[in-house]
Amino acid sequence: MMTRVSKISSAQLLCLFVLSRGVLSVGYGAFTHSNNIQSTAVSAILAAVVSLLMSVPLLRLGRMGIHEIGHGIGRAAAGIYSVYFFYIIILTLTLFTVLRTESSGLKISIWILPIALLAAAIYGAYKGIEGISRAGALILFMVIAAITLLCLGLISNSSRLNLTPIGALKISDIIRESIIMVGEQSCIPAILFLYPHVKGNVKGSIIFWIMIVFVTTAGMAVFISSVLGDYAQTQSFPVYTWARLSSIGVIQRLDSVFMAIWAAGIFIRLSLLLWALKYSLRYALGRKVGRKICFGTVILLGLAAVIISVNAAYNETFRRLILNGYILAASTIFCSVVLPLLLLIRRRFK
Amino acid sequence: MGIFDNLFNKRQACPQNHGNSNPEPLLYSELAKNLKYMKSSFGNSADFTVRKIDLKDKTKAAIITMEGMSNKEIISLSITNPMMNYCFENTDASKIDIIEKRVLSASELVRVIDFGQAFTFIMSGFTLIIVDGCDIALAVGVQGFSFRGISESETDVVQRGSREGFSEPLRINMTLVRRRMKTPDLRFETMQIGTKSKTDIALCYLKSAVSQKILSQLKEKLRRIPLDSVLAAGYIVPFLEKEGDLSLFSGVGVTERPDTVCGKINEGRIAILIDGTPSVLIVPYLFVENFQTLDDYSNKAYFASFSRILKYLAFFVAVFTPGMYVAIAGYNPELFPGGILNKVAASVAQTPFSVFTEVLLIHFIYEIMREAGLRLPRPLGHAVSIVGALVLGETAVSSGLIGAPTLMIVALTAISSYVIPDLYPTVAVLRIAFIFVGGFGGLWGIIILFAAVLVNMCSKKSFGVPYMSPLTPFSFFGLRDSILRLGWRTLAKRKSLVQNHRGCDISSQEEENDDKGE
Repeated sequence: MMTRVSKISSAQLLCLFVLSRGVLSVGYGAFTHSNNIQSTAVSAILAAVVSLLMSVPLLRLGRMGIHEIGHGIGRAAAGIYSVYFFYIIILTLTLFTVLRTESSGLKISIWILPIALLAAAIYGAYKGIEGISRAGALILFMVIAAITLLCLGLISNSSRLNLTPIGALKISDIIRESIIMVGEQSCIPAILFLYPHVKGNVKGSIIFWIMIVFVTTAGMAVFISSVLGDYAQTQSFPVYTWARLSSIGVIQRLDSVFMAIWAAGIFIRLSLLLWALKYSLRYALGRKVGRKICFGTVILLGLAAVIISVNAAYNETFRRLILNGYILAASTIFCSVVLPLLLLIRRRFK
Repeated sequence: MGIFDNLFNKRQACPQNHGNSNPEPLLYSELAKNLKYMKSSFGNSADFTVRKIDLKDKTKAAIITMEGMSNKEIISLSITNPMMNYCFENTDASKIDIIEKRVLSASELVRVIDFGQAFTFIMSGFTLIIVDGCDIALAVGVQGFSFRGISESETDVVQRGSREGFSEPLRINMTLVRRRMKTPDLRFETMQIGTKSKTDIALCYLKSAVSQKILSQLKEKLRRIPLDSVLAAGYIVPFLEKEGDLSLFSGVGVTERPDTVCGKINEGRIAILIDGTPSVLIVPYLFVENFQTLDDYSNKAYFASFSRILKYLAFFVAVFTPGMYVAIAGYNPELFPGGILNKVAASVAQTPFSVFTEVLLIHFIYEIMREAGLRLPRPLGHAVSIVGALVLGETAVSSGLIGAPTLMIVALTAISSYVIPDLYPTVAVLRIAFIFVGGFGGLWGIIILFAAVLVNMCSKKSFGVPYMSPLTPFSFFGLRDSILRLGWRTLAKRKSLVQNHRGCDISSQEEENDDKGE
C-alpha cells in the first residue's frame, strides 16, 4: 500500500527548534561555570555566526536525503547519528533530573518523574512529528507567557547598576561560553532527518531560528544579570534562581509553575530526539528490520538513558562527564559539520 | 423520489442482482410458492400478516404487511378496494403493470424482484402486493407506525432558536433538514448498515461545499462496518475514527438539532442521519466545535465571544483544578496566597484524610450520585440531589470528615464540566487522571500528563482535518469562529470550509507514515 509522508510547516519547525533549544538555556550553569552570566550576551553573537555556518552542510545533505549517500556509508552515518541522539537524550534527561532535584522538594522516588517523562516522550515520538510540532507550538506559547509573567514580576527588581561594563567581561569566558552555546545547538543534526518532513522554506526557518535563539538568549542574559547582579555568580542555576525571585500580587513564588512549564518544553525536546533516534536507527539497521523492533530498540535505549541520567545526577564525576560542554560542542560540531561534509565529498566522488 | 426508490434503483442498476451472485432468491411467479417461502422465513411470526384477495378476473393476489407498521385505513381504501373492484381487460400487459399504472394511486410504489428486497420493504412498513402469475411484486409506501413527535431536544437546549429537534424516523429527520435548506445543492444519500438490523442511514451534505474525498472516505468506512445491528448512533462512531485510535477525544460530533446540522453542512461537513435515533453524527468534527452552540450565533458577537472564552476557561477549570489543588496543597503550598494557605492548612489539620484522598473520594461519590440521578425518575433524582447536597456534603464537612475547601473545589469543577456537556466523558476521566498524577508527582506530574494529552490531541485528525485546527496549526483566520465569534458581517464576507483548514491532508489512504519513500 502506498503511504504518505507526514509533513509539518516551516513555521512549526521553527517553533519546535526554538522550544527545544530554549529549554537548555534554563540549565545555564550545568554546562559552564562562568563567573558572569552577562558574558553570554556577547557570546551569543559569536555563537550565532558559527551556528549559521554549521547548518549549511546539513541543509545541503538534508535536501538530498541520507539514503542517497550510498548503502554502506549511509547506514554507518545513520549509526553515528543514532549514537549522537542517544547521547543528547541522556544529557537532556540528566539536566531534567538535576534541575528537578534542585528546584522541587518532591518526596518521591527520583526514578518516577524521569520514567514518566520518558514514557510520555516515547508516546510523543510514536504519534509522529506532526503531533510533536503542533503540541510544541502550543507549549512554546505557554513558555513565552510564563517568561513574560516572570519578567513582569521582576522588572521592578532590575537595576542598571547590576550590569558589568562590556569591557570588564573576560575574553576566556566569552569564548568558552560561545563554544558551549554552539554545542547546545544539538537540534541542528536533527535537520537531516526532519528535512523530508518539512514543507516550505526550511533554510529561512533555520536562519530565523538561530537569530531568535541568540537574540533572546542575549536579552535574557542581560535582564537576568540586571536582576541578580553578583548574586548570580554564587548560584548553580542562575536562571532558576532568577525565576524563584519572581512574585505577582498575592502569589509570592512562581518558580514551581515556571519549572513545570519548562518540563513541558523538555518533553517536546525529548520527543523530537526520540523521533530522530527512531529514524536514524531505521536507516542504520536497514529496511529488513521491522518498525516494531526498531521502536522497541528506541524504548530500550530510552530506559538505558534514564538509568544513566539518574545515576549521573547523584555522581558528581559522572555528571560532569555527561554535562561537559566541550564534549557536547565537539560532538555537535562533528555531527553538524564534519560528518555531513565527509558525506557530501563522498557523494561528489561517487 | 423516496429513499427506498434510491435503494431499489441502485440495486436494479447492478447487473449481479439478477445473476447468481445474488444471495437472496428471486420471487416465484406462483403466489403459493411465494407465500410459503415467506411464511417459512418468518416462522409464522405473530406480526406477519397476509390478506388473500381475489381480483375480478378470479386471479389470486395477496397483500402482505407487518402488523402495526402500516396504516390499515389507507390499505383498505387505496389498495384492497381498488384492486378488488378493477375490471382487468384481456391484454398482453402483465397484471402487476396494470395494477401499478392504472389501479393504485399511491405516491410511493416500488417494484420488487427478490425476497431480500421484499422483506426489507415489509419490515420498513411498506405493503407488498403479490399477484399470482407475476414474478415481480409491488411495495406500496403506506407506513403508519406511531412515533414520537417532533419535540425540543433535551440534550441540545438553546435559549433562542428553533424548538424542533430530531425525532426517530429517518424520513421525518430528512424533512426537518430539507425545510431549512431549500436548495437542490442539498443531497441525501442512503445506505443500509447492520447485517441483521438493516438500519437505514442517510448521508446529508451540500454538494458544492463538501469535499468529495472526505465523502468517499466516509462511505468506504460505513460500508466496512461489520455490525449485526445498529441501534444507536454510538454504534457507528468507533468505525468512523481511525483504527487503533485510543484518544479520549472524539472526531465525530453528535447533535439532535436540525439547525445545527444545517450550519455544519454549510461548512462542508457531512451529517449522518440514522433511522431510529434522534442523534445525528457530524464529520469531520474538531476540538473547537465542542465549545460552539447555536446560541452563539443568535447572540451579539461580543457576548458570544465572552461566552466562548468562558467555556474554554470552564474546560480548564473542570480538568485541572482538582489535580492542581492536590499538587499545590501537597507539594507547593507556597503558591497559595497567604490567606487561602491558612484556611487549607486548618482544613487539612482537622480532617483525617490527606487532600489527595479527600478529593478522590469526593469525586467518586459525586460521580456515583450523578450516575444515579441520571437513570432515576425525576422525583427520585431530586431526592438523590438532596441526599448528596445535605447529607453527604453538609454533614461530611460539619463532622470534620471532609474539608470545606475540598468540597468547594469539587463543586466548582462539577459545575464547570456541565458548561461543555459534549466533553463531559473526556473531562470526567481526565480529571481523575490529573488528580492521581497531581497526588503522586505534583505539578511536574500534571505537566507531563498534560503534554502527553496535548500530543494526543494534536496528532489526532478527523477525516484528514487536524483535530486542534485552527489553534494548531494556527490560523488567524480560523480564530474568527473558534475562541472568538466575530460579527455576522465579518463571517459572511468569506465562507470557511472544513477541508480548507490549515494542515488539512485528506488522503484516501488510511495508513499514515513518517518514513520517506516507503
